[in-house]
This record gives sequence, structure tokens and C-alpha cells, in this order.
Amino acid sequence: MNTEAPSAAEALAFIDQSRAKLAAASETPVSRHLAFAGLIALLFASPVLPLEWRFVALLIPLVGVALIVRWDRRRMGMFINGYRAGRTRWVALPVLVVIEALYALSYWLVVERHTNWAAAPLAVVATVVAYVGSVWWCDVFRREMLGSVA
Amino acid sequence: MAVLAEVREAEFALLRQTTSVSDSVLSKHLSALGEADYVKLRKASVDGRVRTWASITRAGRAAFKGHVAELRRLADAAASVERIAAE
Repeated sequence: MNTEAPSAAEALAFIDQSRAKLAAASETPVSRHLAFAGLIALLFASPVLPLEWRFVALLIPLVGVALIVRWDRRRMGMFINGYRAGRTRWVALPVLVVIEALYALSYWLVVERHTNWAAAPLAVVATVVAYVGSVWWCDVFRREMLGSVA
Repeated sequence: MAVLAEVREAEFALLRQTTSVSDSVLSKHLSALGEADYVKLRKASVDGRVRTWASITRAGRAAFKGHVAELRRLADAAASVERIAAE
């Protein structure tokens, strides 16, 4: 057992080292957070637009997400799923729920109640939620990777 | 595997950087993991250069989780033995 024990501890330490390097490699520029928040802002513009343009406005964020994924792969050499298992899920899911609720409210106010002005403040709130959520997610991921698996 | 367990997909260069091993060692390990169906490898062209991307499979994730649990058990057992020996 004595011969196995140091190697087990060493292997765990090596895993910790790799995770720490992954944390360093996952450093995210402000522009990446802004890009994500910008896509959310575009999403909130869709209910205000005429029906034929609404689908285009919905398509842009979808294409934008694909471009962000491509950018992540080029910049970091990896892609991390936002909904990955781990502590980050407790950031991603509440942020998603809040943004979806705000979008539903915005859609209802604009389409059903014809209060177009309501889209702007709700878009601002959702954009801030998306930006803060993105920064928070990255911070939680880094802290998770810097924690020990032992 | 520690890196692949946390990401959807990682490029060969990033894996080399995070594991601090040579190209040949990493390549050999990835091939072995691929043969065991623990890792899926694909080639993709980025900026005109072909790069290797790796992702962990469901079987690989389960095996790695079991491996870490066993390492923890061994490390804990060793710490207990050392503690008893010191007393």
C-alpha cells in the first residue's frame, strides 16, 4: 500500500494541476461577455418588429451563438458547455429562467398590450442580467477548477 | 481526461499545454483512450491547418469518475497508515 499511496496522491495533484491550467486557459475577455449580452438585447428587439422581421431578429441571436462558439474554439482551443454539470449549472439555469421570464413579459406587453416602450427597459435589464451572468459563470468555473479533487 | 471531463471539446494543443507532455506521448494516450471508447477524436481544419479535437465519451466520463474515486480512496488509506505509524 505504501508504494501505491504516494502515486495516488501524486495523480490527484496532477489532476489538480491540469484543472488549474484549464482555469487559466478559460480566461474570458470583456468583449466575449458583451457579445453574449448584445445577442440577448437583439432577442428583446424581436417583439417590437413587424412579424416578417421578427423571425430575422430571432435568427440573428441563433447565428450569433454559433459564431461565439466558433470564437471560443479559436481563442481558447476548447468549448465549454454553459449547462455543464457542476457548480456553474447553478448560475446558468437561474440566468436562463430570468431572461426567459423577462422575454415572456416583454413579448406579452408588446404583442398583447401594445406597450412597445416596455421592450426597451426590459431589454436593458435582460442585457445586464446576461452580462453579469456571463461574468459570474466564468468566475464560478475558474473557482471550481482551482478547487482540489482530492 | 481531467480536462476533457470539464469541457465539451478540446484541441490537441490545449491538451498538451494543460498536461505538459510531449506531442508523441499525448498522441499515444489519446489513441489508446480512443480505442477504449473513452475519448472521441475528430480532425477539423482551422485557418487552413488540420487540428485534432478530442471529447470525452459517456463511458470515458464514468471511467474517469471511478478512477478519481479510487485515487481518493488510496490516498486516504495512505494518509491513515501514515497517521497510525506516526502515533
